[in-house]
Formats: sequence, C-alpha cells, structure tokens
Amino acid sequence: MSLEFGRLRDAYRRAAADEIAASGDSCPAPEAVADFATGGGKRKERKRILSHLARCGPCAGEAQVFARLHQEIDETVRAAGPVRPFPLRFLESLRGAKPWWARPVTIGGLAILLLGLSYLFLLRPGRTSSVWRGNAEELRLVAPVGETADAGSWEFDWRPYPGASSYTVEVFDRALSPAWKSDPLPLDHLSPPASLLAALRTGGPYFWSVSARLGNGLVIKSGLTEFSLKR
Amino acid sequence: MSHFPEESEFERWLEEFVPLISARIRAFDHEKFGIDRDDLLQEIRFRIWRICREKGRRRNIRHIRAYISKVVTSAALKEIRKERALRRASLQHAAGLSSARPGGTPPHDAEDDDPLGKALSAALDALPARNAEVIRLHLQGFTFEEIAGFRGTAVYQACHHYYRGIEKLKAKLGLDRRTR
Repeated sequence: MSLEFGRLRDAYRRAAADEIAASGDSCPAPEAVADFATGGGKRKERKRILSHLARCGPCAGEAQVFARLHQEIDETVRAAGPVRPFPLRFLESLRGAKPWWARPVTIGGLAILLLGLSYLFLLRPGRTSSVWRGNAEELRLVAPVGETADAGSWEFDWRPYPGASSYTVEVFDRALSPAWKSDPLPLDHLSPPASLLAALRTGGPYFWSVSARLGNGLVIKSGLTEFSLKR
Repeated sequence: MSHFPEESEFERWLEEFVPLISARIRAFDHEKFGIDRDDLLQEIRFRIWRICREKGRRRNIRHIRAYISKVVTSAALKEIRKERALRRASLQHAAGLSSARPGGTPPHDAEDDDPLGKALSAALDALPARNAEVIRLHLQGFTFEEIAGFRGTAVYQACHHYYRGIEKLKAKLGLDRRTR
C-alpha cells in the first residue's frame, strides 16, 4: 500500500481538528502566537503553544503568517536598510555596556587561559612518570668512572638513592647507541653478566648510566660516565 | 515628508523600503490563511506613514529592523483578529443551523469514518514525542527551518527526526517507502 503526502496531510489535519475539538484545548491569543513565531515567550509557554500548533490548523496558519512575515522583513531590512558608519555603531554598542571585566569575551578568555594553565601545571598527562634530571648529580656513579675496567674483576657501583625501589643500568657504545640494559635491580651495584661481557669488545670507550625508580613512579637518571674495558 | 528635512535620509529609506516589503508580501500567499493581502499592505503603509509624521516617535526608534518588524507584526495581528472573529461567527452560525435541524444532530462528517486519520493519530501517539511533534508540525505546513527555529534545534536535526519518524510511522501503518 502506498500513500501520497497530500492525502496523509489531509487525513492528519482532519484527525487533528477532531482531536483538538474533543480535547477542548482553547487556542492561544493571537499576540501569544505572534510572540511565539518571532522567537519570544517563556520556555514553558513556548512548549504549550508548539504542542497546540501541531494539532490546530488555524493557529498553525497564523504562526506561519507571523514567522514568514518576520523573516521577510528581516531579509528586506538587512538587504536595504541604512548602513550606519562604524564609529557610530561602535559608540552605540558601548552605551550601556557592561564593564570590561564582566563582558562575556573577557570571562571566556580568562576561562580558556585558566584551563590552559591548569592543563600545563596540574593535569599534564604522564607527569608522574616523567624523568627528572634536575637533581641528577644526586644519583652518583662510583665506579668505573673514566677508568679502564678489568673484564674479570669489575662491577658497576653507584651511591644508593633515598626512596629508590629499583635501579636499571644502561651501557652505550661510542656512538651513544644503547648496547645493553639490565633488568630492574634492588641493589646499588651490579656484577657484569656474561651477556654484557659478550656484547662489549676490548677497548672502548663505552658509557654507562643508572636510572633509579622511586616508589611514587618518578624516575631519577644519573649522568653518563665513560669507561673502557681490558681483558 | 518634507516637513522634517533633518531626517530626510530616514524618510528616503522608508520610501524605498515600502515597495520592497510590499513586493515580498505580495509574493507570499497570505490569502490561504484568510488574510487579505491588500488590507495588510494598507495597514503597514499607514503605520509607516505615521512614523514619518510623528517626530517624537521617530526619535525613540533605536533599532529600525526590530521596529519595522513590530509594525508589520501588529498590522498582521489586526488582520488575524478580524479573521478569528469571522471564523467564530461562522462557527456559531453553523452551530445554530445544526440545532435548528430536526433531532439537533450535526451533519454527518465524512472524516468521522476516516480510517486513515484514526490510524494516523494512533500511530503518531505511539511514536517517540520528538518524532511525532516534528511530523505533526510538518503535516501542518511548517518548513523544517521553521520547525527547527521553534524547537531551538538545528535544521538537520528536525529533518532527521522527521525522516526517522516517518519510517517508523510507515512501519506502523504498513505503508511502503513511496510515502513522502
């Protein structure tokens, strides 16, 4: 079964007229319809009138007259209206305006600035796990520091850092490319394992550093220190 | 118009404006809503002429667009009040005729037995409120722009609610996709 829009519309209008007659809903005053159609009226009243217009054909027609007249006038005046020079319009806009600190532009700008600052200083993602290099000298390396280590009897040694839960040792080659990295260690020294000795060749130079992970997730890194190796 | 040469620019603009708004009003079919176009235009012209004559009134006009809109709206209001009075009188006349008829029953209306109208009403009542409202308003002759303006939504939302609603409505009525 198919149905044209026109027949559907006519059937609806007849049914709606019966509905409105049966409900006894009285039509709003023409002033209220005009006010509604031109965007005025309180929210509750607008809702009531809209619901009435959906069922009452004559009132819907009146609302269309008002809405379309309003739109036509608006377009005509906008297209043909006298243009006032900008200085006059600007002075008029200042008349009775709010003080600068109460204007929406100022309030909006301040709100955006505050949001930006709070993002930078308070909500910055990953802040708790960031690397803090400011006090890197606190995590001091003890040995080997600028010396040649004997492959058979040396170990990495550093001063324990207060509050550190684990340490990670990293070794870099001449080009500062990572050559080896340990698993997290609970100790403040490390005997070089066979995997490290296999990765390093006699001579050098090599560099090493230690990262200390604190209980709150903060990571403290030491500086890089050079060493070389002999067998 | 020449009585107030200091505001000649304003008056010249009004002289230009009246034919423009007249042309627009002529293009809009008010008569299907029971409003006499010529009466409306005459009323608007008269009110605008009064603005030009009364110097004190012109001084109080700060926003010309809003003021002209108010003038035209109040002219339309006057016409609509007349139309409502005529409608009420014709209804009272019809009610008088039906009570004078033997048995006092109103004439039989074809729509009382309109199964489509009843089914449509029932189906619309069963739809979500926003879909039903947009469909009802569109069937009453409002454009999607007007519906969106009245409901305070975007035009695309009004279209969306309409088309979603009409699909559900067709499903409830057992109609095919050709219904538009």
